[in-house]
Amino acid sequence: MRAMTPQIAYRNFTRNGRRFLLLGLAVCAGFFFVCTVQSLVSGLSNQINTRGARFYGGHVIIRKENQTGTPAEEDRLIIAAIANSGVRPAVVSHRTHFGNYSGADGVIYFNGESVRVRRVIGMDWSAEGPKISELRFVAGDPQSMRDPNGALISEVTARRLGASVGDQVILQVIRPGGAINTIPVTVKAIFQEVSIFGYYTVYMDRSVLDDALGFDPHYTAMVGLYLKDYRQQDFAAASLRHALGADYTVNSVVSLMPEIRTMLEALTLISYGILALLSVVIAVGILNMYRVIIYERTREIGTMRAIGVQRRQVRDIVLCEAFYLSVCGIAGGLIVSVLALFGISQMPLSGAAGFDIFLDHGHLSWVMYPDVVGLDALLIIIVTLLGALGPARAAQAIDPVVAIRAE
Amino acid sequence: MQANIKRIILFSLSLLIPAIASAQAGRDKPDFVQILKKADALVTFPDTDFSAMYSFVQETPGQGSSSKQAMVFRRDRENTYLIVMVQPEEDRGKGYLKSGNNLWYYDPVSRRFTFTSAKDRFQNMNARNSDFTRSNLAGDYRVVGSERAKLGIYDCWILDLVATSDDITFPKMKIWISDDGLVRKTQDFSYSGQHLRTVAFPQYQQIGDQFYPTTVVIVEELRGGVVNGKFEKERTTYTVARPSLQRLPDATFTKTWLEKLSE
Repeated sequence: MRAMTPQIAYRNFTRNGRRFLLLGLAVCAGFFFVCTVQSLVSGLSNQINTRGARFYGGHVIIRKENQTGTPAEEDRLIIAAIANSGVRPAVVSHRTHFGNYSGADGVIYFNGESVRVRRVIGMDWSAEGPKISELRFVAGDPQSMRDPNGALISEVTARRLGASVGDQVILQVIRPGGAINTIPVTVKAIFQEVSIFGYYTVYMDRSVLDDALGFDPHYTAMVGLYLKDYRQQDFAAASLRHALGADYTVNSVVSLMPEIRTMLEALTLISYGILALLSVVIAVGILNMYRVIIYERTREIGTMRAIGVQRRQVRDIVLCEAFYLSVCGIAGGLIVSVLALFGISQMPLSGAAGFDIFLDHGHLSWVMYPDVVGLDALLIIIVTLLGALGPARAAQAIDPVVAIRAE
Repeated sequence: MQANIKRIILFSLSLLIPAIASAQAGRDKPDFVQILKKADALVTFPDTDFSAMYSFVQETPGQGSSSKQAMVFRRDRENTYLIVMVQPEEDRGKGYLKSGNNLWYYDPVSRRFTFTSAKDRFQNMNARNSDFTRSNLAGDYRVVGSERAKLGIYDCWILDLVATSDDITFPKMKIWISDDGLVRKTQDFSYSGQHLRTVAFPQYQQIGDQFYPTTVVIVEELRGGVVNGKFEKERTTYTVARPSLQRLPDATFTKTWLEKLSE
């Protein structure tokens, strides 16, 4: 008899569909809301981390201020430490940067015009090409960056210079001692990136930049790791810090953007706050509505007891019904959430000033992580069961004689 | 036998003549280090302070011109200078203080000093902060080429210079020095040899035993615009007036004095 509890509960659930409809809608609405908010927050976070990683050279950035060995030796040490740390990056990048973080701006000259460049990024196209190719290109072919004398410039820069793909521009940098140097580079492609991560940024070959700055050909300012899951960056950074020791600075990319990190953490907290609040609302709602349902099913429960269903089994049947209710509500909420997120992501939002940093080609993006959705679902199920527990205990206490006699 | 002796003599002459000619040519060329040292000495005030009013006019093709004025105070023996902007009104009080290798920029609005660099542009014009530093061509550069030529009315040595260290703003330079020892023109190049700007010193005025350029014209080679179908380069012209060799109080070259001046 006990083994038939799930079947009995399922039959009861399907036969009392109308009774459970309102409850189901409540669970569905709650899960839809939580899922949607969290997916949007994850989408924002994903955009920031993707852009930041592209700008800084990875989700985890390793730097050594005072390099004691040769550049080649230093690089070998870092690569060995990465292998020993247990971190498995998708891409390892080597970069040289020149820009305002090093104390001076670059300048691009073309046809009498000049544009100050916030950051000149020297990178290895063979390693980072696929990542940089994720930029939105409005002209040219980024694959032609295999030419070491090429450069990728932003649409804003190209417009101000009046430059097009194929034009040779002059990039001015300052060598570490202060001497001015210039490099002629050919515009291979023009990308659209209106956020601070690309507005005045130039991508070029690292060896050419190293040479212009007077660095050793093997010199890299930093080694970056692109992770398969950016959410692991803090853990990866801690592991690498332990493996490399105090001589190296290891940062997660989000720690390089403290204000944005604070904002993302606040948004995440808000989404969990909403989840907690909704959990309480769902629990209370289910408690109240289930009381009504149990009252309405008094005779039914009395009949079950009369034919030999034990008290504990009555409780289990009610809880099973609540479980099916939550699963259906979750499924419904998930479907509606996906549809809503798809609709929201179609809305163009590129006109919102300052918001571009969060957008994916002018649209909000969303990400549903299975582990996050799974945890949310588990929480809803637990909350539903907790809400139904009281009424389930009340149902198990019903006297079958009294129940059958009731009108 | 006689033919062999002739061959030996001819061969020896073919080696000796060029050697003698080259030695002679070497003796005709002056000591370029001394020329550079003289050029430095003529515009450096080792025993006195120098102050003057500098008036700048920047011409940007297609955008008109803008003008600024600044008081410049120099103490060459300590390699220090102080510049205070006087005009236009919105720049009044802004200043630069160079002391040794440190160069500070002062903003009277925020009342803050920020570290700046000799290679940066002066007030976003074509002049650079390093243009106001004491001349040190002989120390900063070595001569790698030379030729004689005329520049206007002046007979000049044209010297190709390469910086002796990596902290010189313009790593390569071509310089015209007239026979009187004054620099008449320079062409400044980047490390890779890109021509960045041309500076002309059409006029000098003597003050005491030294000279100062009364007019300097700086032409940007990479910046400009098309005007009436013709490409014109951006240029800045500055004139130097009201020079004085009066000794300045030591407090002049301090941050405190710059702050007080700016009030």
